[in-house]
Amino acid sequence: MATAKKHINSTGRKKIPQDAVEVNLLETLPGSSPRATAKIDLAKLGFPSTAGVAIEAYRSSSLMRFDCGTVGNLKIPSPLVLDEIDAGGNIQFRLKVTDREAIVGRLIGLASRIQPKSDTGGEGRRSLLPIRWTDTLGPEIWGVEVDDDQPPALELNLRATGLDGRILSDSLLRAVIMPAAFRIVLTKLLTYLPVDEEDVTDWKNDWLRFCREELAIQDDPVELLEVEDRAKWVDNAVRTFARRAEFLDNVRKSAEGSGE
Amino acid sequence: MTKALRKLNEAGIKQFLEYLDGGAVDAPPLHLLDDPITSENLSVTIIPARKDFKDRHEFGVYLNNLLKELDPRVISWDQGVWSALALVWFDLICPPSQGGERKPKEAYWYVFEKNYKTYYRHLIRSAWQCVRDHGDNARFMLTGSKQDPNPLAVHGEILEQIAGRQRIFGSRPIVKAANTIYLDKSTGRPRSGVAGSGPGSARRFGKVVRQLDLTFDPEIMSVEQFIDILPKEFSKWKSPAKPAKGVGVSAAVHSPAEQSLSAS
Repeated sequence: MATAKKHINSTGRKKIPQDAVEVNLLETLPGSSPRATAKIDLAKLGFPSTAGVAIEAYRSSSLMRFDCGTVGNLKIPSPLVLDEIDAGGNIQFRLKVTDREAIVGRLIGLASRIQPKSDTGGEGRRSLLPIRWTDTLGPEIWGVEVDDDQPPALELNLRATGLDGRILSDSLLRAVIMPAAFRIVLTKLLTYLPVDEEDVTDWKNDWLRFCREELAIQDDPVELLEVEDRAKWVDNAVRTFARRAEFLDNVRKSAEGSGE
Repeated sequence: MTKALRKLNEAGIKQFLEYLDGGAVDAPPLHLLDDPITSENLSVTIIPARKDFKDRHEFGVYLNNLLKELDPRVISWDQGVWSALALVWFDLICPPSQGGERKPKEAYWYVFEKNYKTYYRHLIRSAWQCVRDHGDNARFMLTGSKQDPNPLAVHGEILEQIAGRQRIFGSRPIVKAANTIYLDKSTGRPRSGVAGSGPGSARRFGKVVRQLDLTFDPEIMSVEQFIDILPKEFSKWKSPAKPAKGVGVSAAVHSPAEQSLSAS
């Protein structure tokens, strides 16, 4: 006779329902660290207001922990920069609520195996500019394919021996290519404006949202009618992107590290 | 090897596997690292020249310095890099006997596999990862209680028990606590009995901590607090080891390079 497996929880730990926490992986460009935002709602679960709250991101044995304050005073870092999580696989999350007064470290609430909202492959996030290997570039090493109807892609010449891996690991190569590719896409995007803001499948909305929310570019390019103003908007976005991605700092660090 | 390292590509991996499948009878196929058909350049120049390592911890420190210009997030799962390095040091990780015969183990010890059941056993990458993630606190996992003539070829029981459990291996406080109780600071090696299967052993540590992890959050506890909640069977480790005869404290003094890689 088959017997049902009993799960006994004698620790007093509460299981936090999955809908009490929502993690969204942000769109990022190839080679940059994944980033996420989180929303937590523990109000109705009866935890003491002084209990500590933390989010852990993990992939295999790589783990990052983010302190989110207390149940009564949540302070969720935004964004969660996942720069110590190994690349190349799905990132999962867990939420921990811990006693900080009676028995320090006692786990009083847990939600595990939280899947981030966008999980379209790769590292569980949608890349704004996916890499596409091609043999159609002739003698050119890289290019950007931009089309009104198709999401843009960074094209790399599959005959360029050694390029595989470098685009992710070589800070100088990344610093040279990525801002230039970013500029090409934005410049082309402006020629396609306006876009249907209701169309969630349109890649242009993704890019405009990235500029607005991630790069905090306030101007709406749709309202910029002069060629010069649009060029300035692109310049501003590219520079902000390069600064956020710390391309220059990473190149300097790399050069210092190699003793140059 | 005094040449710049090249990573193995798909064709190179295939030929390395064929060499292992054939029993690794001949000399290691180092030519795979030169041939553009089987390998490719890295983005930076890396010359893995050194061959004398006292133990796998020293090796892990060396690897972290050697590979410091590569993004650790990216190379962590790079089959080509780890497999190429295994080929470079094949004589150390699969040494021939005096008669020249090798006894290779399963291929995943040498050719890195993206398989969660075996990834942590790769003989090169595991030393790198232990030191990357845990610095000097990885010492108890990467050394044996006695000096081995082929230290790089040995994946010890302690490492198997800790690294095989991702929740434990990924936790710096837990690994730090384990190093605190298990390492004999006078020798810089694990205390005798840790690698067994009896009460308080590393095998038991893995099982017990997995249970404690359901009740406590070690990430916000001090090492002392965490060691305090370990059950009685670990009591014997809570007091410092008696100094071994004829072994000076100097054995546990680490180089500045090692100290700089220590986990907090």
